[in-house]
Amino acid sequence: MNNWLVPVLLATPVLLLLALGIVAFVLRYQRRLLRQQEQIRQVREMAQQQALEAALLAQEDERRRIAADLHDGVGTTLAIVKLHLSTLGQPALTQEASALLDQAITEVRRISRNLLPAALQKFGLPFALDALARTVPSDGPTRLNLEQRGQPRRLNPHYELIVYRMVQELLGNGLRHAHSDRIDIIVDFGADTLSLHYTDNGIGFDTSIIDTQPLLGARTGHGLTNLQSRVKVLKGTLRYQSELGTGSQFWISLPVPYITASQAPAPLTSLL
Amino acid sequence: MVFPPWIITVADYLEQASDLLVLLPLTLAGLRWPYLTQPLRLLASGLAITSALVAFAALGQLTPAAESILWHLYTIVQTLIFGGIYALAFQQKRQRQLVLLVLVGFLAFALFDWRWLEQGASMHAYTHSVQSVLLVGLSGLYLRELAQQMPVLHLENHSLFLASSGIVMYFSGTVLLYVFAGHFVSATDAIGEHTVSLLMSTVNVVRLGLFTLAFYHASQPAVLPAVRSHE
Repeated sequence: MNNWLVPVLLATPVLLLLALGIVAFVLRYQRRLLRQQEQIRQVREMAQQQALEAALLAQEDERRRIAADLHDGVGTTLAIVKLHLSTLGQPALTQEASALLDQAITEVRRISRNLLPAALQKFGLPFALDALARTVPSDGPTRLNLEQRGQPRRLNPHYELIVYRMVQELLGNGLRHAHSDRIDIIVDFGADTLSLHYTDNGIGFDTSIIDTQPLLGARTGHGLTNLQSRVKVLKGTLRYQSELGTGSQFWISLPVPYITASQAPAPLTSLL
Repeated sequence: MVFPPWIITVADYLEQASDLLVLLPLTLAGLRWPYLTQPLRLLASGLAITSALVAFAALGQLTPAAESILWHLYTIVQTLIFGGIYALAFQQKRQRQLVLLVLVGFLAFALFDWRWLEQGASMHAYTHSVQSVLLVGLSGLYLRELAQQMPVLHLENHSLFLASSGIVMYFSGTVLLYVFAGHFVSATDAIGEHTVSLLMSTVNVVRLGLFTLAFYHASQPAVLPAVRSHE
């Protein structure tokens, strides 16, 4: 028998195994790279989420500060001025000024209330939503129907504030831009999700413009961007449908954790 | 070491089977031709050409000298075609040019080997060895590029990954057999010769199996209907 045969026959499977090892290594290497990329993506996403959340919280803090300054500073000063006017003892001269002051105080209160919805902090989301709905006059050009379904309950204060802002954003946009005579908002408190369904029969908007570059003078879609940011913070989903002349619909679904009675936020003293 | 005599029978059967097995990837390549990328078309053409050469060698009444030239030609054609796959598949122009340069170098070496180094030899072991090292190297480089660039999520379904795996395994498994081919041929040891043949046929079956899978997984990227979504 050839002297070379046995060593060659022994070495050949070894080489074959080495080749197999190379192929297996490439596959493993690719898997590891994919895992690393996925981890990097998750970390980036989390960082983005945190940055977005921090920005929204900072915005809310700033609103709170402005609301407090308006109420405690401007509101109190106006009340004192009104008091001084009443001490002059000349109602004929001060009546008009006093009425203007009353108007200014009411305006300051309204702005302050919008900036920091006290009802939300004191009584929670379901109550605050009802209060928000009551601010829309029933005999105005737009009729609002806000319906709460499921088990309306208190949520984490941050969640409540963000959800409230979403409804406020939808309602504000609808009232300002949609020119509709009817707006329906359904808030469904599910077991572990909260769903919002907004419908109006207004002028609608071109979704392709929102998706691409906003036109000069057209609706810029800032409201939608704000809405998307808030939905993203709560890791929810947003879907919308609209066409010019046929109204708009928005569906928002948010994963909302239950909170127990002990976790429920303590009522705060009303600012106004 | 004593080899059992049944190896001769098994080796003969397996050699014939592996020669016929080439029809499987070729048929599949023919069926999927419109979906094949250029490197895969070259691979399919290469398989067809080399199979024709094998058939010619088996059926034609060739003199030993003519048969030697035919097998040398087979090695050259196989190397140029498999190398050509990488000349098409690599991403960077510089890599592709380098592959072409290496192939030209190989062609020159094969002619030098045929004319001077192993003049008159029935099997050109040097050319075979250089072929194996060259193709294993090119396949290895391509596999590395695939792993880094990740063109697909599941590399095991990527046609050229499968084809390259087949090339790496075939030439790694046969390189030593070709290096010592001269010794085996001159030893006139029937069992030893058939053992080598058995090993080569086994590796060839693995290679053709991977080529079949490569053609099986070849398909055009799915074109999704234009759906507007606002999620």
